[in-house]
Amino acid sequence: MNTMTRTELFDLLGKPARMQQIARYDLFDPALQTRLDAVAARTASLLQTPASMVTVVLDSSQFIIGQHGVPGWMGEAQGTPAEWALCTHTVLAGEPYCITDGTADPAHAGNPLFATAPIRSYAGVPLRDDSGQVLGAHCVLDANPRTFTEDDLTVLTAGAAETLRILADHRTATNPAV
Amino acid sequence: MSTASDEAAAGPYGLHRPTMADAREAMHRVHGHTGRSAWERLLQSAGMSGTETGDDALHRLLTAMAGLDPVSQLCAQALRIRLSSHTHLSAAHTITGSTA
Repeated sequence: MNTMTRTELFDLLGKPARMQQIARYDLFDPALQTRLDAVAARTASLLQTPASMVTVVLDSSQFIIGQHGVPGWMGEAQGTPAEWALCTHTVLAGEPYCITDGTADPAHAGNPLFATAPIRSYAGVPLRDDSGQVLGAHCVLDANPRTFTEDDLTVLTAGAAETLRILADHRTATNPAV
Repeated sequence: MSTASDEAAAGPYGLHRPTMADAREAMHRVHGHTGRSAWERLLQSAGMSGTETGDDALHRLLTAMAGLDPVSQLCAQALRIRLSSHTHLSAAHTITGSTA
């Protein structure tokens, strides 16, 4: 991702087939947000982190669809630019992605998120639905450096599975392409 | 998504405020080969020509975009998040006087 231009990144994330799959879910339903907030709260509690999110990574922004304790402007904006979003790395990798200390990691030290929000470490797992598309991620954020363990990722993976079950309940019947 | 003029007008942390041009580019991106017709449908729905500038015009366009179809609704949400991020960070930037 670091070698990609912003336009290349947006084109990759915004492929019509991927956007159409994301559009099959009613992400704006307040009942969905309430249920996903509960998933995030449970994960944050189990992993003892101040913040957890359920996100969908759209073409140019990360959209927070469930959250617990998300700090400052990120929570108020309901997301972040895609090129800054840590969940973008998880989506592109298609597998768990961890950052032990963003301020000390050369791959992330220039990311404005670490300068504008109390975030030092991150662990996320992808949300891959039955179409095979990676829609977003379920993650935790910590204000301190942290090395995440396999057990931590197991908790996140369970939260992601629950998230996908909840999302399935909020699938729309209409064709989003039209 | 960026141009030379955008770079000159770069906001906090290099984040520029979305414009009508960004909205047009995003609609073409997410709709693929139907991007041009989707953009034209959007302009018709919003009662705009596409040459308007400024925040008011963009907000009007995003309102129409959100009601156009589910994919366009996501496109509008992504642009709104970028707008909101820019607003919040610009305010913080002004308060702290940061040069970052």
